[in-house]
Amino acid sequence: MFTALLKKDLLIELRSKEIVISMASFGVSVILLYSFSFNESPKTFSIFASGLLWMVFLFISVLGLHRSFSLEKEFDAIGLVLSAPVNRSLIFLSKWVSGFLFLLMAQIIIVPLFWLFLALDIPSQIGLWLLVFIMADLGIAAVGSLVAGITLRARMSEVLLPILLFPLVSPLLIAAVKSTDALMVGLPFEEWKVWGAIIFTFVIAFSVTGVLIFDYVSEE
Amino acid sequence: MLEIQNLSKSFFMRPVLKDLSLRAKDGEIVGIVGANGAGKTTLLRTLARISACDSGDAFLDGNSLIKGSHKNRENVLFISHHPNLYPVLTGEENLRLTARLYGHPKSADEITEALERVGLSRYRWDPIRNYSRGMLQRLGLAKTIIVPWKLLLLDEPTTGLDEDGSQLLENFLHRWQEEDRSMMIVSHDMSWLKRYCTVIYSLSDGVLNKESQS
Repeated sequence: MFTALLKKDLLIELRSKEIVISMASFGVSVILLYSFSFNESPKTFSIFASGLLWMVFLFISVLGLHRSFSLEKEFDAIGLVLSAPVNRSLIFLSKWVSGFLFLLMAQIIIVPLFWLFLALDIPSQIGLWLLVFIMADLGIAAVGSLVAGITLRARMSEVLLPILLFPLVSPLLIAAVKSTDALMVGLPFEEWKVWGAIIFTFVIAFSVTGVLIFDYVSEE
Repeated sequence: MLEIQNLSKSFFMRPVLKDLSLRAKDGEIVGIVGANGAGKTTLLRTLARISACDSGDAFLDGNSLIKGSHKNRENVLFISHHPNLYPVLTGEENLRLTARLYGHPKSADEITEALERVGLSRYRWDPIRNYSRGMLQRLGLAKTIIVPWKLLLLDEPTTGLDEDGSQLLENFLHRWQEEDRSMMIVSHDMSWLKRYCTVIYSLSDGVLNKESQS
């Protein structure tokens, strides 16, 4: 059933191409702005680079999550999934995984351009760097899918989503920024492992919460 | 047997369903009539678990539809006046998804046959956002072919149907009547309900009153 729900989300995106393209185009536009603003002082920029990069990811996540759940509202399509004999934890899991994949796809376009336009050094511990990205993306997608599920029925869901999401996701983003920062200056894992642990804990906490409560939050 | 026990539901402190109870035997067709905003659709959406209720429960053959496991709903099919389908997917893809969600995956031939029976096989590759209202209602009827149901919840089934569509719906309803299938049909048209329903209730101010029984 999980596969059917995930395939549905991916097929809808394949047909509509509304989510990843809007996320990527917004991200690239912001990077271009960064590039023109900081082109005189790339050294200064490298100090703020991770914070600015994760800020872009936060905004594109809101764009993607909002679009993904809006597609469920058109034709009241979510009614099909809710009235079917489907365990609602699986609805959350499919939205979590599809949200993560959409964010990852947008990042695949955005991140190389970020490094290219802003002439940043490539981190030496590339494996750990990718792991931080993947774990933080999973965290954003978990809390985002849960909050988007809560706001799905609200009349002003596009306003409510960022209002609820930003404060909830702040600890994760701070940890992601600190970890990325540490990796960009080449600090050993021992010196930033606490931030890594926060990201890991966040992913576990919100994925379990989503699985446990999505049944209740998805109903009218 | 369908049994609704003391079902209550309110929206923002305004009660819509007040302590509703109802019992329908297998093969009975229950009609619910009421004015706009009376809570007819809310009742069906609550039974389909799209809407949560404040209190009470509903049982199909003794299995709770509201508080019980999601598996208890596998024999309940809800056809809304909203399409409840994904607009960017084609008619065929939507039916295939519906069949999989109900745990009865269907082959392409079976889906095509269902679409042919409702007169939509020509449009099976079109995204349903291009379908007219009547075509979407027909697609809803196609769901009843591919999902094996024991209780059908029909919400304003005549909305948007042209003459051919209405005839198609009548054919389906007559066959289900002959097969003694259990249904709950919501409509604002009492005379239309009287043609098919074994018992009709009116829903007014959140309360059900029996109007007629045959």
